Amino acid sequence: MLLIASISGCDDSISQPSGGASGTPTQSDLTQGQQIGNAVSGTQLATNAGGAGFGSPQDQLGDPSFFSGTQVARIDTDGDPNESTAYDQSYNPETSGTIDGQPVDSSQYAYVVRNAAMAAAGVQIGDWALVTNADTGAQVWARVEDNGPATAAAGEISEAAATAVGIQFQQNSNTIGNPMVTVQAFAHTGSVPAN
Amino acid sequence: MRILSLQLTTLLLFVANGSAQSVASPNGQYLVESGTATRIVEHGVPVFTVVEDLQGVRRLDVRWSPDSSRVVIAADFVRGTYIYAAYLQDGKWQRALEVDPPALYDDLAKQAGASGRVVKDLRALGHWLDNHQLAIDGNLTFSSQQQVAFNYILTFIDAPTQVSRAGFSEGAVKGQDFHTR
Repeated sequence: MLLIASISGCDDSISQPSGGASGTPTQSDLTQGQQIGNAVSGTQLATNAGGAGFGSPQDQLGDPSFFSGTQVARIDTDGDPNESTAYDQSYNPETSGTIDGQPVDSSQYAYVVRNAAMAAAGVQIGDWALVTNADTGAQVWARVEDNGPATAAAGEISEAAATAVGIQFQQNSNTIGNPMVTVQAFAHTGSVPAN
Repeated sequence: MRILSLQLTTLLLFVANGSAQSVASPNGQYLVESGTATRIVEHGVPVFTVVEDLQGVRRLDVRWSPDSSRVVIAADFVRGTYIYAAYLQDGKWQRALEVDPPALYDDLAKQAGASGRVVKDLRALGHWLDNHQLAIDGNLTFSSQQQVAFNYILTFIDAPTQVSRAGFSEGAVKGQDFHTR
């Protein structure tokens, strides 16, 4: 019902907010990322327009273990304390990954959702992933922080990841238009620290 | 016979509360134990890791085959169940993870007349039909909030398989005969 997503610069650059995380991030390791957009319509300032709080990996990660191919972007609002099933019927307050024992806030941290194919590629919770807006080339580093349905197509990303690559969405988690993304995931990189 | 094998292999491992239990194979030679990972233990010694990453797992369910040469482990997350398997091949344990065809959800939605995207896919292990085939029940939740129950057979494929970089035998287990209920 509310348009709350935001637009970031839709260029070819990788979004690299300051701060970062380790394999088992703590709150003090992480920044909340920069505010990178405002509401695109409606009367309310975007409350979910957070940044990409995991930063980017400090080291080269090598070849990705998993590549999604081009997929329709879907938004996972899980872990966002401002969300509820009143808006997004598929909302869960929990995420598989945690930060200081708390769910990973979808509005603040760029994360991707794992499926069985990613798990079979050795991708684990906490590993690094790279999300690319297939329409604009905008990219953001993210971590794998939630598990989705086993056979769901890869391409489910957090609100912050969507915002960082310029994908707009509603509070019910529906995207505006039909944005396409690719997801690359890097197995056993959870311990690689962020810049 | 089926009832007996079910009784021998239907212990649940509860991970969330930290009180992981072990599940013995019917012949008593092996245990599946779960701590930070889920492993097969032989004579008290961990011999093989089936599931390395248990973060977010709410419950594990284990089914040993009647001949103790195969085991299936269902790992439940909030929005999905991943089906892991391990099997003895030439005296060595191998592992596999069920990866269904991408069109599965569309096919089941069509069968049931459901719409929307799948937001939750929970599955429950059933009984062994023989030493190669395990019945599985599932329940899909669509974004439209429609629920679709389904069942299928998880089959171990005996043909040689390629092992991925992650150590999973590709195509060693396959879901077959998916039907809505």
